[in-house]
Amino acid sequence: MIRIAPLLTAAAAAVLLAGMMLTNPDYNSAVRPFETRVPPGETGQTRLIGGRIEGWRTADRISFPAFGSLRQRDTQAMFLIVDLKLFGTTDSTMLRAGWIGASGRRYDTTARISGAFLQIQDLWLQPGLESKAIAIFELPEDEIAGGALMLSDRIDAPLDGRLRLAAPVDAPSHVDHLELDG
Amino acid sequence: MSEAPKPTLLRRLWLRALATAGVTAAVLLSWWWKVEDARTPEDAPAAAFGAALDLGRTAFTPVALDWHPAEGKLVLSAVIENRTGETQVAVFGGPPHPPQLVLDGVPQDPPQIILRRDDEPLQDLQPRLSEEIALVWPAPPDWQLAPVRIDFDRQAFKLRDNLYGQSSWLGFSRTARLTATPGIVP
Amino acid sequence: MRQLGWIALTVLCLALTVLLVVWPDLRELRRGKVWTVTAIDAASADLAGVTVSVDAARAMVLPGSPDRAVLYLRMGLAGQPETLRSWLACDIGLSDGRGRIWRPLTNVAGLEIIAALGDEGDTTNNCDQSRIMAPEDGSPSMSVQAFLVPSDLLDELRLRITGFAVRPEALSLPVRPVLRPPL
Repeated sequence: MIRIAPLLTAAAAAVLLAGMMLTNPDYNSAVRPFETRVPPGETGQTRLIGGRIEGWRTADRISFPAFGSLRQRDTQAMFLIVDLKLFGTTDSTMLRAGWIGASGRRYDTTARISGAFLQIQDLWLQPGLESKAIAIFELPEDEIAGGALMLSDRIDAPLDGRLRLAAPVDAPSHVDHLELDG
Repeated sequence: MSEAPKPTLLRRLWLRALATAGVTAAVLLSWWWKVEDARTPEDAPAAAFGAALDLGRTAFTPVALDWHPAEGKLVLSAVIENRTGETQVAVFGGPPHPPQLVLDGVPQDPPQIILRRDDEPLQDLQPRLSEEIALVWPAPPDWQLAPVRIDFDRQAFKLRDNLYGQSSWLGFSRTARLTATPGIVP
Repeated sequence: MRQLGWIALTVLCLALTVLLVVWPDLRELRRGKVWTVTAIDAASADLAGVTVSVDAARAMVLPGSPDRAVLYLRMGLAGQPETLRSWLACDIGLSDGRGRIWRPLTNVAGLEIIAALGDEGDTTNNCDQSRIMAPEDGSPSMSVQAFLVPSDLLDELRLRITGFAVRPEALSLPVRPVLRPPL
């Protein structure tokens, strides 16, 4: 009886340690931004950013002015344009937007369209001011429904806030050719 | 504590055994490094047109190699696909290791990477959307049409890398070598 | 009793280890943020051997959207060039009573605001450029910056300035912009 007690203690310690090792999250899932999930159509807010999705549309072709001439971009997939209303909270903030597709893949705003009016990558959010913005993504059609828009500050630092705005409930309107202003 | 005793025979033997083990380990380690060197092949496997190469973040399929004598440039046409789950800016790894052209044994400068769809430099690559691209190298003025060599590097990825289980992109290794004679485009 | 002594020693060592590990992080946290703001109601004041002065401030309510205004600010940094360089970088913004911060615009819009509200022959330096290119004689080195702010806060906004190496200390000066009619 006297011999069993230390053996039991050692076994319990081993089980405890094994449990901790097996359930220990890896670095990437432990050290990451705090996500605020926002249901469709609602307004969300994190430390630096607040906003909501006003509408969304898709297009096969987009033309926009750049350096005085009109440029046109086509795609083998689809362009998704998300219209946003955003407001700053405590500090001037530059933004980064990504679309988390239905498959979980992350699509950043396309660099192929740059210079159009109100693009989110050019926006500088100011405290106390509301701004309109558009985020343009290039992605396969099946990634659109059931996706979500991820909004963060440009650096997207771990342990800072991040806004995850769920896709609207109704389907996006579609145009073949979308013309954006400069 | 009592007075320190004279080292016993056993103790002296033990110290010597330790020193011998250290030397032996060093010899064995250097020998193993030589073996490792011999084991890593100098020549990477040959690449072929139409066959996809794994470059780490992307799958790269060479399509055609053309020589434009009028503009003095070599153009490798290819299809590239993002194999990761997010938009990639660093399509050829970070720091970038784009395919390297070797002319007469001389490595050339990195190519310009053109997205065919826009006829503009490729800036990013979306997941699941494979794009046609062109790698453009200006050839030296005195270069004559001959078989050329293009080396491809792959960046290694480790899902749980360090003590914290952080995923990271690690070093590059030669993954394939394409040897071909460019077709002439007038 | 002897065992208690050992336990106490272990706890002490643990506390020391925690302190040793945390110390650099605490220092970094202190340096990384403005913690103590010295508010002064004059046009100029000293901060870490540098005299900061608000030279001119002008504001204009945007004609299309009356809830927002653009603000032009010219300020001077006077001090020994070495002192100014030792700041490492400017940390500058306009703050309101609730601790919100508006940073200077560094885009094309910012340049347009400076062109519209500034004077002829104004410098084009921003805070960091004025800091690096400070004259040897210690006279004020001027800089201009533009801000986009809510128009109802124009009377309330104050300049909050510090340097990366000067934090956690910071200086707060009144801005008192002169309102210009919309163009």
